[in-house]
Amino acid sequence: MEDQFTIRFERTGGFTGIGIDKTIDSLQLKKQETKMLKEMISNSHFFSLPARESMKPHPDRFSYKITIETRGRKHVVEFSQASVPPRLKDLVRYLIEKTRMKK
Amino acid sequence: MTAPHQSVMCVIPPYMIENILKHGTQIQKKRALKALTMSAQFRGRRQALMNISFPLPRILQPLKHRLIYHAGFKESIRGRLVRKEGEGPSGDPAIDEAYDGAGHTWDLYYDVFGRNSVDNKGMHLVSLVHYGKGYDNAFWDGEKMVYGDGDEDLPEEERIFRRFTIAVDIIGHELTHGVTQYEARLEYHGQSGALNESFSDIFGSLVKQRVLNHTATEADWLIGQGIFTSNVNGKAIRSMKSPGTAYDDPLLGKDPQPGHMADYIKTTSDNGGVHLNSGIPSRAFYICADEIGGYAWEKAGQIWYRALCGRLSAGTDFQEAADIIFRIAGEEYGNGSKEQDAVKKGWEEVGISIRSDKKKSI
Repeated sequence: MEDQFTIRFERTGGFTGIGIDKTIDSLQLKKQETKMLKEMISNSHFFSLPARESMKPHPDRFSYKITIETRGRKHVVEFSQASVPPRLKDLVRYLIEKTRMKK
Repeated sequence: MTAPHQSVMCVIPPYMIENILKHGTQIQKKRALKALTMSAQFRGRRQALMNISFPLPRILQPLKHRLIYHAGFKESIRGRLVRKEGEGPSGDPAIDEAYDGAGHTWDLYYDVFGRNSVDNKGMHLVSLVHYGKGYDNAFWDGEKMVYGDGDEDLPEEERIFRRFTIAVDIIGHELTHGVTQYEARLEYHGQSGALNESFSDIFGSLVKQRVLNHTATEADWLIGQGIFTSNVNGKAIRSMKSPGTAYDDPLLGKDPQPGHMADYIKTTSDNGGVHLNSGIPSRAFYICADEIGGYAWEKAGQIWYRALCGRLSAGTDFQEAADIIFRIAGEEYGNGSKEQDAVKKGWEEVGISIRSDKKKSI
């Protein structure tokens, strides 16, 4: 896993229908955070995950889409809140907190 | 030799048989009923059966049964039972709002539409509150309602959302997803998904209107009023009366809901924009209810409920829904009635013309 990468995190659905679409650039993170993120991505085997997990839609549940791009590689994974791939749980938890809307 | 029981019973006057039916043993009651039936048949006195009241097996009246669970601020579908039917308030607003809101929703469906709970078979109404931490959502998971606390874990000045039990129409909305699951089973994507969302907003709003005793004209037709903190420039999540005007905030942007087919949003997000394009059929309902006047649940609500239960199907789109609802209004109130004209006006004002061809409508 390279030091430079971007993660785009998109959340749609939910009762409000108010989405989140944010991109995290590793160059803008502290070294410690970058290191932690790299580990999470490696541990999840993100680039070998299927593009779409079971996506049977549930009323008002969130849907997620994660795009990770690094030098020469890009991979997109989509899943619903009800079917978060187990290996992605830590990364998803981090991204939800990192991209949380606050005033 | 003992005479057969029915021979004896045949000569017993009806008032005595009635007494036996009320106070006799099970065997005596069974024999008395048999004798009475034979007597009535033989003597042509069937009226005797009709005039006598006797205890029948007790038919249970539908009763609401609410169960509220506490998720312990974890994103777990299990929780601890904290309030059940008949128990008094807990003092925890999320628990008590979920309990009361489920009750108001059950009441609307039973009192107005004669429906016995979500599945029409007396299903328990299960709610799970305090789900997750900083969880800005409420949803129906196929069996129960789940409510997050919004941003109540953040400092006040950073909060956007309050707890999701705060608006009774949200509770009615989630429970209606359950009703739809057992009835029209509208597929949760594209136009059928937007109809699914619209029905939830419609009946959620009707729950609120009935609690407040508001007529269609008095009602605010807002969905999720009170869910935003004072940090947000917005009055609610959606407006059925005027889609696209519920909020306009620097952080959240402007309410994107369309209220007319000319502004229909084509997108792959949110299962094809189910929470966006629902504004179109929801506004059609508002216009219809306002045109009819009075309480919206009495006529417009009945028409839409009949559509949801038995007439719409999984893949129904807006046009098909409009045609079917128009036809139902004609069946209920007569072709060319004020009510049917109101349905037509509602759909036309959102850009959907009714197709009167019967073959296309059903």
